[in-house]
Amino acid sequence: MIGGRQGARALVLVAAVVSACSADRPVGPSSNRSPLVRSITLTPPVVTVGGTAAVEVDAVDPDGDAIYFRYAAEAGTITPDPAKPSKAIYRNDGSGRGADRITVTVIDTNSAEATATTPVGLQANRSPEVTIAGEMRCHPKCTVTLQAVAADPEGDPLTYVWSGCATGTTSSTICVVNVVGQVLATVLVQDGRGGATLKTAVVEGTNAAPVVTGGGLQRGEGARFDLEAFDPDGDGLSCGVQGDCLCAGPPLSGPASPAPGPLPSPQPLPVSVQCALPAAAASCASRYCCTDVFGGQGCAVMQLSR
Amino acid sequence: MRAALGTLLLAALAADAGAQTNDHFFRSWRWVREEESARAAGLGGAVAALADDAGAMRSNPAVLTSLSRVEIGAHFVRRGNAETTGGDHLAGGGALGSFTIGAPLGPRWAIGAYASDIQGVRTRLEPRALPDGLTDEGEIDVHVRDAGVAGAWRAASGLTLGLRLAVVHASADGDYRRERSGEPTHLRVETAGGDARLGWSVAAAWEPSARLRLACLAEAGTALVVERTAASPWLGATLDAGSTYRMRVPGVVSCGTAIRVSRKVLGLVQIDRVRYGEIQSVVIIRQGAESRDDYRLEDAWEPRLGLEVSVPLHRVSLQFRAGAHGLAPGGLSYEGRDATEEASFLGSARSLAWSGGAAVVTGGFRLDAAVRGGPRPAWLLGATVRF
Repeated sequence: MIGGRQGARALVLVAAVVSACSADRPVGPSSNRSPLVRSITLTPPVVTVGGTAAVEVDAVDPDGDAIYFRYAAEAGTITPDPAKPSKAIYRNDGSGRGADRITVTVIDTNSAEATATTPVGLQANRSPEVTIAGEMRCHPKCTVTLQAVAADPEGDPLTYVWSGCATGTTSSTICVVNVVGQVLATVLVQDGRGGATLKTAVVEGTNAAPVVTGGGLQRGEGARFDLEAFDPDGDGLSCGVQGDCLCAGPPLSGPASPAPGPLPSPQPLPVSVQCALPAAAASCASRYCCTDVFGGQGCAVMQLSR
Repeated sequence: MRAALGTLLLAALAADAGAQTNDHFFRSWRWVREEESARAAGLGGAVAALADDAGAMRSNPAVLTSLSRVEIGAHFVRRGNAETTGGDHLAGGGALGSFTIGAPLGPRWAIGAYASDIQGVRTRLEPRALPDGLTDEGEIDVHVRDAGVAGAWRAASGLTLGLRLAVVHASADGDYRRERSGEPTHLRVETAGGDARLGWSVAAAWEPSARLRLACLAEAGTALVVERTAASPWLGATLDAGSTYRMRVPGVVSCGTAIRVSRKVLGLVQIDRVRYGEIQSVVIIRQGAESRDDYRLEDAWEPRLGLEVSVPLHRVSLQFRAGAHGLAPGGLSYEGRDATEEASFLGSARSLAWSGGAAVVTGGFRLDAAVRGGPRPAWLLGATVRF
């Protein structure tokens, strides 16, 4: 039979062995801290509407846990970089808001999270910049070729609509000038996202007056004046004598007004006008004038004196 | 002798490190030491000083020496459903509550062996919207059983010492999800596995007179390893490819008294000091930016009362029992600044479990039945033979 002291010792021994066998070591953390988002960098800081920017997040976990990133934007989408989730590409949805906001949530392996936001400045859609190039004058009836030189700041594709003296839907067009004076060529350039620019060019239909040379003062009862008349534009001329001298000469007619296109070289036309003093007059004066088809007029003065 | 007892007590109170996590499927989890035999259940579990019953050896192995014959008992337990403070659902089920065999080995020694079902509950997390906009949903099934041997030694007249050694086995199987409508699951945590550890208790019983018995015991806590994984489809990441944590079975120190009021009436009073603080002191933070200190669960006193009235008839005796068990809050409550955690870990208030039972006793046979009400309702049936 086991004695009292022996029994007590045996019980203590067994208890100590069992206690040692059942000891455990800690297996997990007693606390967990949220990740820390130190900065969010947006490059460029201002994004064009519908444009993109690079997002880079600087975040750490105080406990050294692995961290994960979630991105959200109110007016755009964000695509994380699969190789480096702290980086992402922001793409604006083009909805035309004045600003956006990116929210980054950083989560550790224990689901503790930290959230940070950064504003996104949005550059509104800008209209195309347009100039019209080309020869801006010609003598009717004529045409000029006009070129709309346009560029969109966002690089959007552009459409063209011409009106006025020109028609067409391409960047290049022809303006038809049928009259002397100013005609307008207008082009509407649109970028398809609300941006539009209207540009107008003034094309001038020019006309040079006929040139009549010769004439002058002669003495006597009568005299012959040798004149030359021509139109710099090559238009047809209608000529005649006006005044108080008694003049006669062949009616003058020049070449027909040319068809649209380059002006023909002017060819001076010789004209002889025979004039006499009226009876009892000591002197007289007349003008030999030519008028082109657009109303341009040129004259030469002829004077007789006894 | 006093030194030996002191050493044993200190060893029993030594806490293992590592315990449950703050994963939300533990939001309604609480440890309840459930009575595994019908007689113990009927007496409110106040059986530390109960003599002549092998079914009480788990509560106090020292009383094994009070057995006069070999005793074999088997008890069935049917746990009912219940609802927690936070509205989660607890589902029970049927199980073999305990199987015991005890035998005296002479005037000074007795031994016994047992297997018992300490706790078994499936907690279903009812969908509850939390302040962070997420909803938690899931369930966890936890089962704790043990099997062991016990020995008792009559050290002196009226004084008995006892030791119980057991293999405690715990299994957990569950998962929960944190979700927001229209989004992939934010967090999915799964736990599974089982583990077996040594458990033990030491006890002493003193019987200064035939009408009075005093008994105390110290039962060591145990930590059982369970596996955990976590993933976030929302993040497209595996957050925890596989880790372990420990289900904590807290230690307990109990002292009880059995008073034979008369030949027909037995009164039992017991006070337990349950070391719930062992659970809190080693909580592992696996959810959120929290600190262990934000969770509260403290050691608590739990009184137990029992009354047994025997009515002898011609060849049989009827016994009627009643009991009560004052349960302390046994679940974690959160007292930090995180509204979501505060809404998840609500803790629980003190509650009362009442019980009643009856038995038919003959010279070599006893048939017991008991019903238990309160936060963990159950009924039990048991049969015991003596020869």
